[in-house]
Amino acid sequence: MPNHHIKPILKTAGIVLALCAYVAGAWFFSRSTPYYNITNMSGADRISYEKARVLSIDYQDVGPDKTYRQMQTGTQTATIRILTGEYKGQAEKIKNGLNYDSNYLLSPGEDIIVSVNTAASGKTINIFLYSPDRGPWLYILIGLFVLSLCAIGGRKGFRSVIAILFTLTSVVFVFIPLLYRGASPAAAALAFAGMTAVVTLLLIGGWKVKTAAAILGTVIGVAFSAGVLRLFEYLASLSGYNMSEYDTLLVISGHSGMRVDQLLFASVIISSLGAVMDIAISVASSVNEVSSSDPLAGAGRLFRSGIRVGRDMMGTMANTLILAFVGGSLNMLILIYAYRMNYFQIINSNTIAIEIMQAFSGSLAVVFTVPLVSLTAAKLLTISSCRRNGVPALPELPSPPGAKEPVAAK
Amino acid sequence: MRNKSARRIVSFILAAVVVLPTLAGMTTKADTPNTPYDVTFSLGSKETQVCFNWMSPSKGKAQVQIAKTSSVKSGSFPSNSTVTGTATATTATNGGLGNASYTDATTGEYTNKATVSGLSLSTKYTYRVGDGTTWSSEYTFTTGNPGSGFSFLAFGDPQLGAASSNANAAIKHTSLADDQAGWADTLKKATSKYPSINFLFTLGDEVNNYTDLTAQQNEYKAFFTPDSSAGYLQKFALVALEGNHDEQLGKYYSYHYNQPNRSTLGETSNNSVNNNDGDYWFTYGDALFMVLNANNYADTAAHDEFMKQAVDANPNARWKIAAWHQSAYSEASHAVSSADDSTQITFIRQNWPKLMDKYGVDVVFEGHDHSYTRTYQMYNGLPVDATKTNLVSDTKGTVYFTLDSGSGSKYYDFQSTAVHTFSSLFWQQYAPTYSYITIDDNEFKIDTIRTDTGDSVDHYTIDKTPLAPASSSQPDSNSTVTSTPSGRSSSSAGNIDTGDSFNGSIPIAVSSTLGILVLIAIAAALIARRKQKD
Ligand SMILES: [Fe+2]
Ligand SMILES: [Fe+2]
Repeated sequence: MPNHHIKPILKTAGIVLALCAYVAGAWFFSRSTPYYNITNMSGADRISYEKARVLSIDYQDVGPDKTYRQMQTGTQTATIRILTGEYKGQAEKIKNGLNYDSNYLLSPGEDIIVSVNTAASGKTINIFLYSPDRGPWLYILIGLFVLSLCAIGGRKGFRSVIAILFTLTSVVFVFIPLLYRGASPAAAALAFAGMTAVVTLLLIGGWKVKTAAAILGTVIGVAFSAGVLRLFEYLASLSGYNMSEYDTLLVISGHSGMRVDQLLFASVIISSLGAVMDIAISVASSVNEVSSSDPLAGAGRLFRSGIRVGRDMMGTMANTLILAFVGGSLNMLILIYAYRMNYFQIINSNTIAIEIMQAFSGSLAVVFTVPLVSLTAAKLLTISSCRRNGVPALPELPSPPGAKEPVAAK
Repeated sequence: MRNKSARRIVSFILAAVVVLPTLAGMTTKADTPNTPYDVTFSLGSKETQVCFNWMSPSKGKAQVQIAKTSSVKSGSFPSNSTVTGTATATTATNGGLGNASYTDATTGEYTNKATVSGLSLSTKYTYRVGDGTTWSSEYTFTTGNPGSGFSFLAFGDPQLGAASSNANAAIKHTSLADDQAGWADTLKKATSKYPSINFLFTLGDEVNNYTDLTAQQNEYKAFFTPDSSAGYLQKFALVALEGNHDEQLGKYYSYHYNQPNRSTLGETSNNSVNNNDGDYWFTYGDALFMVLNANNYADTAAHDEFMKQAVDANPNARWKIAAWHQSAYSEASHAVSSADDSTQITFIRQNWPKLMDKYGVDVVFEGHDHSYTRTYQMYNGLPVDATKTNLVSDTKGTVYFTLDSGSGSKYYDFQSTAVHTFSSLFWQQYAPTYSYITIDDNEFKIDTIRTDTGDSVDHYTIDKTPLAPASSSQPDSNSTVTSTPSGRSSSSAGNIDTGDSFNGSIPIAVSSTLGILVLIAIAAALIARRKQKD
């Protein structure tokens, strides 16, 4: 069969082409990102962040803090060698304060990151400890994650890594630049959600009918929650203007046309996307499972089985979303408890209102994704299994008009 | 016929060529007299000097007529009372900073600057500014005699044009006119309660609009002349500094003020245009004031170099006071990690106090967070003594004040998730406030007052042991802290007692992570083996 040879070649070509298009698109979008000078320095003044190694601790007066006994506070004086940049190789003395804002006890041999700031005259150089050199540890953690995902997940695990890579790069190179350049955050978020759903689910679910069902379900689910969110944002008078402090975002919007007001909407869509995809692929898979074990199962049966599985999942899934938001705002919840804040004050504060809005509109999307995916999966699978078996679809659910022709074909 | 009409046309054109320019000349003069606006004067580098600044629609001689009020008789100044300065066309980065596609353009205005020296102390002066023909109204001010102490009023972000209606504020602001009325009200109440103050001090964000020149022009007019009949800012010297809002039109800020000893150190730059907004200093009495530009927040080396120059030039300053806009220690919306300028604020908090420690600065005034915070005496990023008190004597470290809105144009809410370990007192009651500060050889005193009720919000005193006659001042003295528990606990629900707790659980985290990894590895091996068997 020539088909067998052509298909992989076409598939590879398709993948390569898609990859090229993606890289080109990413490059195009991120390339002309307008420049915004955040440090505002004049003349030949400059600052950079460089790596350095602690050579010795020359003075140390550190002990338990007077107020918070578990914490060490005080001062250290250290001699460091700068390992990168303009002053590479030079030994310098720095003063390290251990206080509530910066609290790192240095020891000889340790690698650190310092800010090196030089005034134009060259007479004054300020070298301040920024942080320990965390980079290597972060890379190790990421590496371990990727390795274990591949080791335990096998091929699927590897595909998941690719999916994650795609999601991350498209956030950095496409989504953020789009927002920055003034694309409607709502539209950009929806498009981004669709794109991520397509790529992730294709990579993980494979080129199958159930994947198509999951993608459709995800996109419609997200769009649905977007609608709900939009409505309640309007009713509760919430917008990006209520997100923390937006002065600087407004400055940037002045240059680039960024839409600050819709940012909140975009952030909610993005944060619920994962859970929606999760439940969509699970429901689609289980519907698929039922369909393959019983090829004659009608759309109605498949739909009901999807709903059953979905019912088990939606509770835990919605819980997942709500727990994620709780985890994200744990500090705040503790403080609210500690201060015994007034009920009206809590429920109407921007932060809490936004958290609740995020948690519940996302969960709502999860809930509605279940019937949506069950329906699409049941429909698509009956059509395709009918096509395979040459048996007409059982009339439990009306077939879409376009599906009638292929049933008879072949 | 043809000839006739042609001749007519020619003569008409000739007439037009002759007449039009004169007409044009006449109309510009008649329609826009060169009336000065945004009239202000700053303290000079000494008490006997003041620096005038005003804007005008066209270029003139930039003259100040000034004389002792006693010698000005019904609008006529003595013959030798004219000082001539300079008039320069102003430019602005209309559309805002930072984007390479925006360039500076002239605004069709002129900035006039003139410095007057050799004034007598404790003397009432009358002045007017203009181009030699068109003059401003006459204003009077009185020079101080700070040898025996002096006083001033300080205000957080007047931010004319913010018109931000905080839900909690009793007086809602929905327009520039509301902000202007609020600003006029604060100035009226403050200057009538303390008429003998020596100057006014605003801590940045004098105006609000980021991108639109016309809007900012109107905001400057509202800031400098909130009530034209009262002329508050023409009666008192003004010390102003640049906030993030004022910076947005680039150089435009610098045309509105005439600041003494202004350095290029600490100035900001955008698109290779330096904004003439560097750090500056002045002395009043035996206090050295260092006014820093925190828009250039990362360039501590430049501020460091500037402070060294200022301190070296005034080695005997008894008090060192610094001021800048973006607060290092505040507790409202700008203090949380999700604030969009949190990179800057975090940098300032971690690094700027090191300069204050280094130069032994006694007091810092800041704005930006539109709420009130007084820190403990801070040294090395830590409270010297975390005991709440309203009086310290011969103490170590620096006290940082963040002042709330002076006009009521905008307020930020207290953020419970921000860090509060430095805070001795927080206050936010959504009412405009001002601070009254008195300084003499041995005492710094601040009283912060809400304008609506006139009640005191906070007060704080720093005492220094009188100097032995011969010895000079001792910066950054390490004597003991005498904390006197104050009898007065300042008002209200705004006061929040705070503390963060910390936990050194790194070993636990490391060991549990390792444990999980080992488990994962074992699981992976098992799965691999099973797969092989299959
Ligand atoms: Fe402000
Ligand atoms: Fe500000």
